[in-house]
Amino acid sequence: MKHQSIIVTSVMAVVIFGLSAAAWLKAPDDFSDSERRELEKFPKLSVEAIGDGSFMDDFESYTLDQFPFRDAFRRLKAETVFGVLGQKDNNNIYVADGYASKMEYPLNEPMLDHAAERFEFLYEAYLQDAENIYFSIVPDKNYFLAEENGYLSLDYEKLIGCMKEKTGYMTYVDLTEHLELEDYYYTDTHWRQENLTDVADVLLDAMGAGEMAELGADAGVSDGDSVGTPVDGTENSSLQDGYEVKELDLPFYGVYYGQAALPMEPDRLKYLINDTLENCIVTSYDTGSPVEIPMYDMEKAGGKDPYEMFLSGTRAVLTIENPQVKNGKELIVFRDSFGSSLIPLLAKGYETITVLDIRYVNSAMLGQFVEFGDQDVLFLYSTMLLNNSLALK
Amino acid sequence: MIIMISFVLFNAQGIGEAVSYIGAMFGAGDLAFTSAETIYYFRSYLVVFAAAVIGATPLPKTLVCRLSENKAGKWLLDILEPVALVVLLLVVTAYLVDGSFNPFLYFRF
Repeated sequence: MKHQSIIVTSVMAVVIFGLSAAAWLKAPDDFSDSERRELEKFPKLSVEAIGDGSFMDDFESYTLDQFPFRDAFRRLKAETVFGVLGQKDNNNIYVADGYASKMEYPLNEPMLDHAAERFEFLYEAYLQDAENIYFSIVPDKNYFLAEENGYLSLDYEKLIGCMKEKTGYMTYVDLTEHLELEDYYYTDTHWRQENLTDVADVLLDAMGAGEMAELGADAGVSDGDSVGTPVDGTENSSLQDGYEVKELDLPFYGVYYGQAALPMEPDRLKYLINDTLENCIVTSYDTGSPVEIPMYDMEKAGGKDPYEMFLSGTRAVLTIENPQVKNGKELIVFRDSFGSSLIPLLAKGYETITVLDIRYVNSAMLGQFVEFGDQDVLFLYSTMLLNNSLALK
Repeated sequence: MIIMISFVLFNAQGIGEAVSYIGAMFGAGDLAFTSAETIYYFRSYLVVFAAAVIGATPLPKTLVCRLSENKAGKWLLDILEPVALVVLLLVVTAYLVDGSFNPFLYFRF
């Protein structure tokens, strides 16, 4: 008994004092790759910060963020939650049918009201001359995964019904029946561009640009010279619906990979190109003056979030001009990140597409960047954003 | 009951939230007895509930006493106890690091 007490005390002391010493000696990390976020730094000490309690709040975040072997401990926790305690989710992240996802629940009606109010503001302020305004909701992958596997799920029917009711001035285009679970990445929130050609065609048909796209320039499969500079190891894989499917030779660890803190196989990121897309001119206006950017940003493909390669990720205002289409049609798309991979596939139907993200530019300022007229207009938003719409300005 | 109420007081961001939670615990707020959420979390925490229920009985203590009555059992316990304690310490640390529990709860007071 005495020996056992000595062993227990010694081991505990090693663990406790060892971890404490490591915590003090370890140089602070700036960024967590697995969680894709900045880590907390040691907070500034001041009488004010102590008085209002913010010092301790920040210190708590600092100690958690800078804990030694943090990723290993997060993994241990996740394994305990799923493997030992048999819980269904870890911090709302779950894995079902090989797909990692985050539970989105419950339906937040005030958020739907906010989104609808923002859309109505845009309609009143800029779209009075637009005759063709379309609205499409992108279901997140929980739509196909959550309820079926016993997880808490949004009432999607109610969400779509509410939004349709609040946006009666738009023509709703249903995408749900053209999507399935396989159209989404295993480890990321988003959908796979290589599976979206039918979705793009549904939208183009609904907006009356499908026929134009077929009559327009022969898309022509690309000769392989890329859009942007190819990332090392980019390989051709196949042809599909008039596009060449290319695959990055880099693993794609999506946003849920880090959050799940579980060992998962990475996704493969594929993208579609053809002559039409190669000849498109993409211009960003985020710096105040026009800057030409690649349709697919290969630097970002090798970065922390490879999905940002599509239209260079977060951009408030950009245009896509397609010199191969001469039908006089223009499209304005209000979108979130799901639009980044889909919108290039709409280029075949329009001379110009203007892409606007009102999470990064105030709606009231848009008149300074865009000349609104009788263009076709598409509101393309995911269920996740609509249910958490405070970001819409 | 006292423990449940006192933990609501500890955890609440303010008096209003505490009163609202405690009220809901006693039937105010027109909440249903069960919902999709209660069923989901009950299922998800079933193993934890079972462990808590068994741990609240004399059964674990009885088992340990029985084991320590013979030499082999005693030898097994001598090994298992420190291993279990270290594993528990690491798991508890992992929970703290993951941030799902607020380790500095008491600093609010």
